Amino acid sequence: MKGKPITGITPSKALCWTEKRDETSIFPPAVADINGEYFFISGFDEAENYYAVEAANLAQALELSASAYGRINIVDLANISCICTKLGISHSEVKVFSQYNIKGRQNFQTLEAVASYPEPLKKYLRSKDIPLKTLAVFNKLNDTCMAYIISTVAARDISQGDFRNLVNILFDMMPEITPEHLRGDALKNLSAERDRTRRTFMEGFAELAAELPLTVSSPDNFETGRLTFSFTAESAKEAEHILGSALSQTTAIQKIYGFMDEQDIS
Amino acid sequence: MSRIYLDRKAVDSIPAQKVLKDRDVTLVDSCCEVPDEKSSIYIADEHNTFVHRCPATKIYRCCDYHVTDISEGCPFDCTYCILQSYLNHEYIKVYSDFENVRREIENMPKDRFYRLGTGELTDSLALDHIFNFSGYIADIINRSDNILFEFKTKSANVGNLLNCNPKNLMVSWSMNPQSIMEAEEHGTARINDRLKAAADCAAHGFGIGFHFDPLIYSANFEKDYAKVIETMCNSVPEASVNYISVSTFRFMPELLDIVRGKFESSLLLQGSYVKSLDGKMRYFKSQRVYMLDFFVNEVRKYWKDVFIYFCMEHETAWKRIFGFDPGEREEFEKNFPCSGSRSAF
Repeated sequence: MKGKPITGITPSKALCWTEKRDETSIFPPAVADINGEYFFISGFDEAENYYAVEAANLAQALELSASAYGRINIVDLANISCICTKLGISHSEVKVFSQYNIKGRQNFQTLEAVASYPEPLKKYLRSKDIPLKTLAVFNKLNDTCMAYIISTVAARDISQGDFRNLVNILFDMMPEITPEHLRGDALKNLSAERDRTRRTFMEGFAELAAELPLTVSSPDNFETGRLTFSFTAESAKEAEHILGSALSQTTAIQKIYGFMDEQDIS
Repeated sequence: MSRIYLDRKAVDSIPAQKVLKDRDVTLVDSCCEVPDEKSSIYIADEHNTFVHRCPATKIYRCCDYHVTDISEGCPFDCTYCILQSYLNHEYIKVYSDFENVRREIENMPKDRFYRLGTGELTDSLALDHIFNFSGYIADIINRSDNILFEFKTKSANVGNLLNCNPKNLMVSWSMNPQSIMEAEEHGTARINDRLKAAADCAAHGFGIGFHFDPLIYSANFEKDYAKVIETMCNSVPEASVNYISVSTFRFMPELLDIVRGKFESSLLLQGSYVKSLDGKMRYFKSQRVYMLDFFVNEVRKYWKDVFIYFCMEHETAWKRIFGFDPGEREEFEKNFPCSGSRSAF
C-alpha cells in the first residue's frame, strides 16, 4: 500500500473487524484516509504514529484492510459482513467475499450469525474450515442442540467431518431429541434406531457368516443375493486348508443364502 | 402469486398470447432478468427436444414411458423433489414453442403405442389455469389413437381439462397420506381435493392414474398408508383407473444436504438408506420389499384387478411380490392393460 506516515490523528474503529493485535509488529497501525477522515485498517490500536493510505470510500478501505491480513477465517469474514451491513456498504463492493466464494442473501445471513456465536464456538471456527452450508443447518438447531454442540467443541477438538456429522444428526433427529438423548451414548443409540432393519439383518448375517473360515460380504449392499467370499492365506497349504474347511461347510453356506431369502434380499 | 416474465422474442408465441390478453407480464431479454424464485414464470424462446423417453436405468426395471418437457420447474416445494438438484434454476420455465411440441407429437411413429406425459420436470396441471396447455394438447391427442397422454399433478386444477374431450387422455395424481403431504409436499393440494378432482375427471370419462412415489417410511407407515389407500379406493371406480405406480423413496446422495439447507425438518432425514446399484440411495432392500408388499396387499383388499407396477425397482422385488419379472422398456410396457387395448394400428 502506497501511503505516508501521519501523526496527531484519532482514527475511527468503525472498520475494526478483528480483535487481532500483532504485538510483535514493528510497523505502525495503518489507517485509510477517506476525504480527510481516518479509519483503522490494521493494527486497530491507538498509537502516536500511523501509516495513512488513501481510499475512495469505506468499501475500498475495508477491502484494503482485509487484503492486508492475508488468509482470514470465517469469524473475521462474519465481522466484516456485519460492518458492511451496519455502515450500509454494499457486499458486492468488498471483493474479499467473492474471494471466499460467499454470495447470495442467504449465505450472508448465515455468515452474520457467526458474529453472534459464543466464544468457544468462534474459537473452534477460527481454526477449522467449516462450510457455510453446515453453519446454515447449525443455525436452524434448537437451543438444546446448539448448546450441546457448543459444549462439545469447547471440551474437545473434533474434526471438521465430525462437526458436520454431529450437526446433521442433531438436525435430522431434532423432532425426537430430548435432553436425555444428549447424555452418554444416547444420541448414538437414537441414530442407530433409524437403521434398525438393516442392523438387525446384519447381526443375523454376521452370526451365520462367522461359521465360515472366510469373509462373506455383499458387493452391492444386499441389493441382490450375490455374495463375495474371500480369504487371505500365506501359503498354498494354508489356502488349501481354508478352502477345504469352507467347502465342507455347505450347511453353513446354505443357511446364509436361506437367511437372505427369508429377509427378501434375493 | 406468480409473476410472468416473457422473452421479447417469444411475444408472438401461443403461451405468450394467452397471458398478454389478461395478465401482467414483464418483457425481458434473457433469463438473467428473471428473479430466481418459484413465484417467477419465465416464457422462454429456447429450443428443446420436447418428446423423448423417460430416463431409465438398465439395472432396475423401467417401463417405456415417454415424456414431453413443455416446462421445467414447479410452483410446489416437495422436500424429496429431484428438481432441486437436477435443475439449476428455481423459476418455472415454460417453453414458448407449443407448435414444435405439437409437431414432435404428431411425428411420433404410428406403428406402436405410446404412453406420453408432461409431468417429469414439472407439475402437468399446476399452471394450467394460466396457459391451458391441456386444451391445446387435447385436440392433438384426441386424433392420436396410438397415444395415451397423461397429465400428472399434485393439484386439483382440472377446470380446463373438464372442458376437453377425454379421448386418449388420462389424469394421474401423486399420492401420499395427508400427514406426509403436510410434512413433505409444500403448497400442494390436500388429499381430499386431489381425490375430488380425480372423481370429477373419472365421471367426465378420463382415465385415472395414481402414483405413490415416493413411499416414505415412518412410525405410522402401515396405519397412514392403509387409510389413504382406503380413501382412494372409495373415491373413484376401479374401472376408471388405468394404473397405479408405487416406489419407495430414492434419491441422489446430495439431496439430503439440500433438504437440510432448505427446510426446517423432514421425515426423509429420519430414514436410513444404502447406496444401491444405480448410485441412488434407497431404503435397505428388505425394508423396501416389506413396504411394497404391504402396499400391494392393501390395494388388493379393495381393487382386485387394477394394474400396479413398481417404478425403478429390482427384478427380484417384482418376482417376490408379483411372481414375475416384467422385463425392460418395450417388454415392460406390454404389461400395461391400456397398451393391449391399442395394439392394432
